[in-house]
Amino acid sequence: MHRLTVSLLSLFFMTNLFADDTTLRIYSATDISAIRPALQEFESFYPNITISYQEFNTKELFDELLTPSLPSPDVVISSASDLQVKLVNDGLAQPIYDVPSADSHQPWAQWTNELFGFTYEPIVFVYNKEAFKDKPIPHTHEALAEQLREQAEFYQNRIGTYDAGSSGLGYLVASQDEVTFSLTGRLQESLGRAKADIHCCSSILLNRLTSGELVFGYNLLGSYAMAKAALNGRIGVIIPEDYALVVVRSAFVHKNAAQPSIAAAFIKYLRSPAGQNTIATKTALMPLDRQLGSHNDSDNQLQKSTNFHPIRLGPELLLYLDQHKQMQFLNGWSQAVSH
Amino acid sequence: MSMIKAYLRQLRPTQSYSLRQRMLTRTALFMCAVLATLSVGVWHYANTSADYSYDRLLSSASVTMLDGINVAQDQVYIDLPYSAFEILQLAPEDKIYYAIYGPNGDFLSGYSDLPIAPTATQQEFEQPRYELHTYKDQKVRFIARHKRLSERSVAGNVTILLGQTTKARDEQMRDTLYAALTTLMVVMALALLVMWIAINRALSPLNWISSQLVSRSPMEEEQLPATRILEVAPLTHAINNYRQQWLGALAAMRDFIADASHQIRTAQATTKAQLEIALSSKDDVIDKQIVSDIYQDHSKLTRLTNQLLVHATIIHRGDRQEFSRLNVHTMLQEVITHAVRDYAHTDIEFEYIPSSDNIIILGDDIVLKEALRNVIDNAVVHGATSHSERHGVIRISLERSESIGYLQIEDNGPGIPKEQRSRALERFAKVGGNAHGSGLGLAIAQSAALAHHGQLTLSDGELGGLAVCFSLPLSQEPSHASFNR
Repeated sequence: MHRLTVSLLSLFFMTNLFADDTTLRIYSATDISAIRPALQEFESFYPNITISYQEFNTKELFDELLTPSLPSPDVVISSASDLQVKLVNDGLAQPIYDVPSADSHQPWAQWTNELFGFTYEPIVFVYNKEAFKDKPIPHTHEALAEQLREQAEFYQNRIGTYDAGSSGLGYLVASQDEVTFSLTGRLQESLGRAKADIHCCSSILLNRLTSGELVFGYNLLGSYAMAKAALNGRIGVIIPEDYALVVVRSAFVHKNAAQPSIAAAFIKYLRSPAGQNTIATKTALMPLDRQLGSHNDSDNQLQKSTNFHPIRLGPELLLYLDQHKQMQFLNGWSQAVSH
Repeated sequence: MSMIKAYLRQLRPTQSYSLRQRMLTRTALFMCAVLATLSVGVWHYANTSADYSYDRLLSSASVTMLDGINVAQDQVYIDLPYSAFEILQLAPEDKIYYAIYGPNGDFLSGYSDLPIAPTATQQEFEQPRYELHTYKDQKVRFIARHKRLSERSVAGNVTILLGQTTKARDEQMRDTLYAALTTLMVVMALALLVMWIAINRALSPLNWISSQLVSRSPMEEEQLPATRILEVAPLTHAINNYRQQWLGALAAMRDFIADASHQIRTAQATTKAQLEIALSSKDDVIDKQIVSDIYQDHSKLTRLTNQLLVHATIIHRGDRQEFSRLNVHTMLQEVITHAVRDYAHTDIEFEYIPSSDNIIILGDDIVLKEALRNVIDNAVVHGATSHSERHGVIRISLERSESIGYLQIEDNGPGIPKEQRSRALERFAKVGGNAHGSGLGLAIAQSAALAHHGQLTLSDGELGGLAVCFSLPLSQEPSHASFNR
């Protein structure tokens, strides 16, 4: 009797231990602060699951997955769609089924049944309100190019953008800019003449814009910028009116996931109405379902009929990852920008 | 071989079966076979067409990619155009793998571990090479295309290997296959339905005819109503014809029975009257003359009855056609021997002129003997005996031509006038001075001749009386066969 009780007890603890031990490992190129509410809500739906969240820069994440030094993750999240597509193309993902679609008009927010987008984050201009107190703010790429030319002194050393060389997202945005907008080359040269400040990460750029070291940020990720602007009144965010690229943050279940079903459940949660709603109202990210808007978007710029250009998840993103193409593009870019 | 035979034997109907069901099952089986054959064809077609359309995507994408490969600054310069990948985007769910190899087979860009070799054969400069491989655990269709660079600094082939997973093409293949199969099945089902209707329609005249036949008595004269169906008309015609013949035979039989009973009753009545006269006589001793009369009448009755039975027998046997090979000479000898013996008490003389050849016919021994005997009896009765001033002669002769044997019986009696001869052949017809014959003898002879596909002709004989001639077709079989009956 005694022994039976002991074994029963140990069994109880064992299962409990096992349940406690169910960890969902997420490797993500997303600031944890920007996504935490969604993680917490998911954990509240599945109390036995603990999320282990590891933050990477987009490029680091890509390299880590190609030449792993850490245990395989369950879920991979990144805003660098091209790198995500490449990872999936290389067979690092596994298919999942019955994932809800936030909006049936967005087939591009998904590639095969492996890669799933869950946010809609426009690429924006950010400006220092103090600096632009008496000046017209450029609302289009063309206006910006004009101002850079005409008011070169004002912008000199005071405009910042992502470093396409070191940031995966920066490279994606710069290359897609080239595909989408014919004047990109001229704009890049203007940026070079203005001695643009280039950085790997949004946080540094946004801090400098807030402090006034920079007056204008070109091609920044709208979600982070709007979140910063909502906290800090000194900067303003403009979604360019002529066209705005949109980055779709995407997730996939890793091929070697230890918890593939929980990983799939997490991705389904991100695309579910509950997940989308939490993203819209609690996180710094912007939901794929554009009807929901974002709590950081006080001017409702997201719902405007701007010419949004979502970067579709698909194999054509592989093109700029071609070794030669990448080299040529970066050569051109750095020559233009670092003049 | 024997197994097939055994199987076929099993198939052969031993029990009654439904024509409709059988036709339908066989059609259905046939259609299933056709469907199976067509399915294979459709599958092949679906495969080829899917390959064809998606190979074109690969082909044009690879051409576009080659456009981006040039020589700049003494090096192979690769600037892949965005449009190449947009072409492949037409199969949006499929993954893309490519590799570019330089003039010396050195890897330049893309995936270095593709399962397809970059080497080129001469022929491939005109036609790209397509291969299906398994790469990264999935089916991938590859194209290998080459381009010759002929700058001074860089000369040789660049090779592009481009692969695409087969999701879209498999889906298109399935779509084509299902669509075609569905169409096929619908067509087959419709065909079966049409068959069902057609079979029912085709069999309906059968039901109609049987209902027509069931509803009327076989004795009715009325014919089946005319039909407008060409295929059914011969059947109704045949049925009508058959019934007509049958009714005709029945009517002849009825007439015969009526005639026969009339004849027999008359003869019996005469005999009875004679007997009554004899009984009513007051004398104890019966007059010999009366007994003789009664005897006369009775023999007439007996002869009549015999002849009627013989006649019925001939008609009956004639119907059944139980013929065998007969030597007419032998048969005739027997008949004449009997006749001579039977008429030994008279002063009639028999002459026999045999043929030099054997005369063999196919015939019924009994029927012919009866017929001959009747003609001989007739000749005896109507021959010269009835004119006692002359001494009766009956001449029997046998002759043959190429294919017909002639058997002729003549007497030296008064004969029958030409205009009465055809009537003489009818049953119960008594012509000329014939008062006490039954009127059946010649009718029997004619029936026998007709039953043997021959003829009976009456003519004037050389002896001045009637000549009765049987013309009988000779047996075509070789004559050495046994005829010893």
